[in-house]
Amino acid sequence: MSEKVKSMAGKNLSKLMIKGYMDLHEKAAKGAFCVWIAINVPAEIFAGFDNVVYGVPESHAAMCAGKGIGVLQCEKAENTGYSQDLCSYARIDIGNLTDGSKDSPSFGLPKPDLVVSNNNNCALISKWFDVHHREMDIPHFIMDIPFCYEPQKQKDQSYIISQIKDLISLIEKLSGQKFNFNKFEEAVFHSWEGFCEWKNFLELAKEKPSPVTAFDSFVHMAPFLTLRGTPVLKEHFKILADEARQNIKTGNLPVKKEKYRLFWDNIAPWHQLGKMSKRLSQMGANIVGASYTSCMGTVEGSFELYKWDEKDPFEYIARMMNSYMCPHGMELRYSSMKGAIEKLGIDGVIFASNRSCKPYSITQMDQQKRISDYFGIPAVMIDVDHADARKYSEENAFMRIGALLETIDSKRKN
Amino acid sequence: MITAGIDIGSITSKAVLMKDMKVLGFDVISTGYNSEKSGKEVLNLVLDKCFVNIEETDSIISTGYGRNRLSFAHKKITEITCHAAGAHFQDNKIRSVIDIGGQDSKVIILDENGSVTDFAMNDKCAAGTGRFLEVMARALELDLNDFGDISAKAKKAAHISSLCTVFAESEIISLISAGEKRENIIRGIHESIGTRVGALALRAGLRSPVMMTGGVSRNSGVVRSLESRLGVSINVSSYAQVNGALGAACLGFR
Repeated sequence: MSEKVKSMAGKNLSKLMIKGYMDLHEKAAKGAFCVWIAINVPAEIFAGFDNVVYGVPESHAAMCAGKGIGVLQCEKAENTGYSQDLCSYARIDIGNLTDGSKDSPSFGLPKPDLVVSNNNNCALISKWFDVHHREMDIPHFIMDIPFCYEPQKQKDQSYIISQIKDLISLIEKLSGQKFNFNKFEEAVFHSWEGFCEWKNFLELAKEKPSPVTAFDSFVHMAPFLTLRGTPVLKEHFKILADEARQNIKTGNLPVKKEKYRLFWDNIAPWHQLGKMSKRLSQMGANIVGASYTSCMGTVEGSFELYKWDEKDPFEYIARMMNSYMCPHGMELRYSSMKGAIEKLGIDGVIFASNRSCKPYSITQMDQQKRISDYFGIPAVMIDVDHADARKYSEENAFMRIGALLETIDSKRKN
Repeated sequence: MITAGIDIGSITSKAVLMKDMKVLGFDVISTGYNSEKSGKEVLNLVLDKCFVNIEETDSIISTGYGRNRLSFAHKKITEITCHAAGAHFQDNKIRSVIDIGGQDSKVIILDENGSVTDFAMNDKCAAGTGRFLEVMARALELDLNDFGDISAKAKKAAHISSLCTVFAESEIISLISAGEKRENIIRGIHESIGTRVGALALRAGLRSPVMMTGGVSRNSGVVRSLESRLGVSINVSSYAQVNGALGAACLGFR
């Protein structure tokens, strides 16, 4: 996988990300109102203002880890007293701010005027953003999003919408700019089209062998976080899907001799993508799907695209705040994974227990048992950390993955 | 047909030579820093011992943490599968293997064919491993081989609350200072391992009959602690330390 020449979609992604960060810095430098947000805060609302930009510290931290400077940034935060037990995204972000972002591949993020977090996806982020609130003396808007043990109730959706509207009012007040509904609606439409095209791409993983590997989809998720509400989403994911379709025809596949089709549960270990994909490929294993990438554009209990009726954009973005795995209880997570495993013809599951994301990892031991019992397929748990390479042992992980593949083999023989 | 299984562990390297599914011989040496070298060395030792030339071997299978370092091995198989195969070879009724090695502990559940159906391992921590016992033996200035016999004399188990090897060592030093008897401390150490590995066994879905393998299975105190915690009788493999290599050699026939 990592040995292949950079794909067209890969080149386009690099171009988009570089331009995205450059535009962000340039507009902020020229006086745009800058907001830092948690990943599932509905960024489309910023498009409703003439001059509001946003940065995503989690995405920036993942990029730092992917570029190999995650540990360096974590250590800076630890040196100022933050515990190693805190999420590595938080440590990277806080560490990055200790020296003016001098090691960041994107020169960090422009200084914010406002930070917005929510409490259903990440348990830590409200406290983390509170650090910025205190250090930079800027307001912190916390969205209180109800956790779901069952499909979201109407009253919860209304509660979320009321908070989105409160946030809009706050930005109007702080920035002195007027919110334009039509521009916001257009942005929501762009996100919706992006989700549709993303799903078209992921659907191709049903092919055997698959032209899709989770390692690609992990990386290509980035525009959903930093370029939400823009037309480039649809364009980019179309390039990605078209190229994957072409690769089926030409046989240019991520794992040439795909013997094992695996499913991944948890955030990507950004510091290991190259190494891990290469080793798995050599073993004939392809992670064809992941809960982390499948949940984009979906809601609780299913990885199928949540179909928007294109009527009320507030309703849609409120529903999308319930994408992702962490805001869901065990039954809902199980239901989503079950559907994906059936659809993709999965041979085995890797549950990555993530030291930095306990909300994602907390149900995994039970899920592992349920999935194995229901499908009769082996599942394995490995220890990872999404951005701190010090908390990952490659040989330890690969011993477990190797045993998983051997168990698949022995089940096939018997 | 002659096969060799080589298990490169974190502390020792083991080799087993088999002919037509019968054990010809085995040997164990320290791994050191060079896995390839120790793999060759332990293989040559057992070949010499059994008067077999390397050219006569049909299949060499490597396992253990250093399995990928042996360039001369025909196949590399994880120790999970090898331990299951080794236990199955010794007694095909075995349904669970508890293996405590130098740096990890694992519980493997087998089916009637000796294939792995499930397994659980310790996470990135030395608690409940051979290394934990080594550190404690050093703190108590005792030979680890005597731990089992000494703990049998204990009237009670000293309470060791920490699961961390480093903290447990400090705790033991405090117990020594407080005048606690050595045998009670050792029994407390065994109980601590029993608690940790016992939980792992229950998580994996332990099924009887159970076989224990790995160097730590030679410690009767740990075996007793696990038996009492799990309420099962544990068969200690006569090839305890070389079970992984034995399984690798068995898999060479497939």
